[in-house]
Amino acid sequence: MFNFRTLELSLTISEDNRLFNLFRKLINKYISQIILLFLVFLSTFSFLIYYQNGLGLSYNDARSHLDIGRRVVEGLKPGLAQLGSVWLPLPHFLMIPTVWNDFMWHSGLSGAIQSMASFVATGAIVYMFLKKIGVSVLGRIIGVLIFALNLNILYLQSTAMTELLLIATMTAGVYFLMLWSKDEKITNLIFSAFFVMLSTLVRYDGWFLLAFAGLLIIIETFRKRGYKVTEGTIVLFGTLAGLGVVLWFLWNLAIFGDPLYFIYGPYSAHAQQTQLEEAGVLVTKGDILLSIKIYIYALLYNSNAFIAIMGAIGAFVFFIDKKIKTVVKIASTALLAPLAFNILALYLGHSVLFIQGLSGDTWFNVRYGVMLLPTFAIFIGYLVYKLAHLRYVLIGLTAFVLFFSFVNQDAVTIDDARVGSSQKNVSEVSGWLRSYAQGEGFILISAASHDAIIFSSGHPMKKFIHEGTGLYWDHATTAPDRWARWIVMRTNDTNDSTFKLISQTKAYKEGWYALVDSYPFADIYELKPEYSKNLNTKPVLGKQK
Amino acid sequence: MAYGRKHQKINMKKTFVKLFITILIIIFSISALTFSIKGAGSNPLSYQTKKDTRVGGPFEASNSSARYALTESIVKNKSLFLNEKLAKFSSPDVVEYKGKYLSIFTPGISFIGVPFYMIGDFFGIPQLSAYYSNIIFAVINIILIAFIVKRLNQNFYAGLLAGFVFAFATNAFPYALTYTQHILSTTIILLAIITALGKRSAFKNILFGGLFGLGVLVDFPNAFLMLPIGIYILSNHITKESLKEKISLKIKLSILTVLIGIIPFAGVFGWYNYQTTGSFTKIAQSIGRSDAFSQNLPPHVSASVPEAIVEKKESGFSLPFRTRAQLNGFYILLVSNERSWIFYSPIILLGIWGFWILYKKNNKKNFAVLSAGIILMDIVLYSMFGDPWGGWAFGPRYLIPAAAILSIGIGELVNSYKKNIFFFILFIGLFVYSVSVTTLGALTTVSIPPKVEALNLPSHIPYTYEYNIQLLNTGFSGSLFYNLYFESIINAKTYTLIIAGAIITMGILLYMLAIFQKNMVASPSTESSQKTSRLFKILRSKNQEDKENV
Repeated sequence: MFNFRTLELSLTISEDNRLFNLFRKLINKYISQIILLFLVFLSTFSFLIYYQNGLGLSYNDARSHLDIGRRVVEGLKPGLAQLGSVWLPLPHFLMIPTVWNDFMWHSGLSGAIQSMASFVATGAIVYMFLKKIGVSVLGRIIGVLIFALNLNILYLQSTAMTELLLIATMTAGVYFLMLWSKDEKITNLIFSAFFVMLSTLVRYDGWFLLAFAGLLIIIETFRKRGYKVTEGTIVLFGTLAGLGVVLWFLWNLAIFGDPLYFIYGPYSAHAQQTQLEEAGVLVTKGDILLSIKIYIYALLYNSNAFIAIMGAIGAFVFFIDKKIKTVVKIASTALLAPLAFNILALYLGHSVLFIQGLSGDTWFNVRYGVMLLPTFAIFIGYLVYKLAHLRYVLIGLTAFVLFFSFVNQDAVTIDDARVGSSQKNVSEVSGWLRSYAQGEGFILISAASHDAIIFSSGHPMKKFIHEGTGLYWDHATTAPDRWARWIVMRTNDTNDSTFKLISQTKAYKEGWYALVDSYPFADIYELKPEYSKNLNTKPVLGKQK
Repeated sequence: MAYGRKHQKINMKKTFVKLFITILIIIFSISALTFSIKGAGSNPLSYQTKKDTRVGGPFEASNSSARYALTESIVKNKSLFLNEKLAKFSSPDVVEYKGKYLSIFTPGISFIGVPFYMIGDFFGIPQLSAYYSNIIFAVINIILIAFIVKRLNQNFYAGLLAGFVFAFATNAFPYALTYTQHILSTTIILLAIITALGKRSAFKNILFGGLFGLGVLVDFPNAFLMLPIGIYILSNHITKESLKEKISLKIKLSILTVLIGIIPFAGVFGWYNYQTTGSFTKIAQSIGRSDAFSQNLPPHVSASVPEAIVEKKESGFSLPFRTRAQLNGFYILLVSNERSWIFYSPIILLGIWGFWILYKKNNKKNFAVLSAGIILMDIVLYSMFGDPWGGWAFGPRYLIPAAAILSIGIGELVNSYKKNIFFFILFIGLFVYSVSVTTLGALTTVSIPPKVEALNLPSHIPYTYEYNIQLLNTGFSGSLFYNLYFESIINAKTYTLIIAGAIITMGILLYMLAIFQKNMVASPSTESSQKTSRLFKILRSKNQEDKENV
């Protein structure tokens, strides 16, 4: 209604107005569902954006993850053994139901779909976490938005990377741990153990959480119940939460004959770190201050400095708030586990992270800094709730900062994927394979070195002979002229296992292969026609064990 | 009856004393600024016709000279474009567009300087006169801060002291002697805060609109800095009432009168853009700097870079406020010895404490929240800026408006702790340090390089106010009056000490007066306190509404 005298536009709604009541009821009752829908929409929209501009597959690791999943269902030697030991198996295992489809594989959706689901789940957990510690609806919504409107998160959830799955499982583990500490219901402890177990099968960050959460459970139970109950509780938690770790050891023993193969194997992170150390670029090893500095930078670049500062203030307010039970505070410290883990990993030399301008002129693995975003989201949601009047200033400034991050597309993970060391632009070499390696015959290539080429070539996995193809690999690296029409390798680089083995063969030494093209990441050789009379072009070896 | 007359007499006496003290402070402030104004002694007076960009002079930084060049071009050449000589003088803050040169900055400061330039030109001192416009605004800022503090706590002298602290114990002092946007931007923001307080009226809205428009004309980021005030005013036009079984939401459409105030200035801005770029909306900053004259510039000029609000990109343009730059921005603005308040004017940090006191008081909470919004907006905005140093500068020049608002907090703090001896010692200690540092900047140079540039210069220059001390130790002073009249009598160091000493003495005097000021909130019989009561009644009712909303 418009009042001409006072120039006022007024809207008066009676409390018994059906439409108004329906709206209010909808908001009050279905706010969680509305947020869930919003997260689903945001997730899908972001995936489409990054799918269309091709950035979704920029990470070299994303393509490798997709290839590992694909090898389980398709290739010269498909099977679960293809899950390998380089990375923990859960992300690839979750790809199995979809990665057989060429579109799901080559669009990256097979890997992204679990990241997207994890994104939605984490948003929901942030909301629930805040609800359970008594934060108002506004605080909960702000918490979810802090998490969901982070460009780095939106980008990573659109890729086949493992960060979102790890974040979701870890946050869920901490959420149920917090619930258990609050109400002491054993089901919450079991749920916590289940999610911690899942996280241990995603990345080694989860292993640290397992230890950290175990320690917190010991402290909490011992404080309240003494030794006996503590013993029972930790056994219950540890049995389920530690199952993934035990299975992983067994897996390595069963497949590779060594339970510690994932640590000391030729493609392990340890082997990579050793190479980096020899090259003198593992600068954080043994330097705790530098490790802290590098990780804090990664953290601030991923979360935005303003958000991180607000999150830190929120954490401070949370931990000094007398209204929050001590047990809840103790359990909530698990939210900080990624911070401790990443600093420790850098210090011990188990992890490598480059910040442009701080450690050379490139980015590498900067995405590790995104791990604390749900933590910040929870603490900022809490801060908004506690700040009373100042909350509007905080909300306004946060919106302001987010506006600029979106306008300028300021995402450090995209830079890492596009121009940092985490990218690998193999379009030239894979383009050649796509165009000229169309005829019958296999391509001999090292998956450990050139998974991105395999992925980007567009060929089916069964066209490639790689380390995981058993007898094909053994035969092809001994007598390549019988098995490989094309060879893709880095000439004179013994880190490339194809070159390392092929260079010893007669076919290579006597020039039976012609170098057809050279590219920054690999050279392509083709068997000369005069030597191709014995060449196998069919997978004649049948099913291998 | 007799008691009433006696009371009236006392009030009149008090008013007279206050008026006298105010005039004294104005005269003192103008004198202190005048005795510090930049120039060199010669006949004819240096810098009035010659475009000399030497360190310590009025044209040492291109953010002053480019604005001055436009003023001169308007008066002398009747043109909004710069001729080649003026363009070279403005470089690197000059834009080349369709074969013509124009200043990269929004034209507000240059336009306002025109009448001052013309008057000065009549007497042969156009530069001095044009720069004097900033001094006038600096003094107005003292009064505005005093006015706001008085509204908050009735302690008039604490208000004057707060204004004085801002004017002389922050880098507002050296920047009052330049031809840059900082001082006028602060005036506009303080005025906008005043228009935001109290009951809304169409007149106040129009006034705010006008200030907003003028603010943008003076410096584009003012639009962001005034955003919290705009939101606050908008919220005052919306009321939610919960009546019996009814919820009523009312929006006063008088908020639209803000547009009436904005339109004239938007028109001027559009006209200026049309004249210079051929488009009402294309601003010089979107075109980017010309490097036609950038070679062989002295380092302090060539590096006094970006105030551009848009960046050129390969395709289109993007805003230069980058979230990734925030980490460095926060460090430079809040912590580093290159620019932060901690090193340049630590006294301003007491304002945070003052605002905490305000925030704790229910009837002043809204004001505290509004102020916090502006201060944080300033810090957050410039933390995202690629060049938080402000090029070669003195202190955190982009945070001058935030410093002004924090000074209001100092007024509240002084009023609360004025008789506490420990607070007095802390206050005086920080005041003496801050005034000493800012006087150094005012009397020598505001062109201090960022660390990264200082370390790469062929001849080393310190990247803190140590550079100013170095200059002073060589006997250098940028003060026109020193160079004209006192150089042969005293050395530059003594002159600086005298100026700083006088400012400190006046500050202590104001503190003493603040101690003896009776807190008049307890006696609401006077006219001013009645006004205040009305103001806070409105603030209180707003506060209660907010509580209900929560």
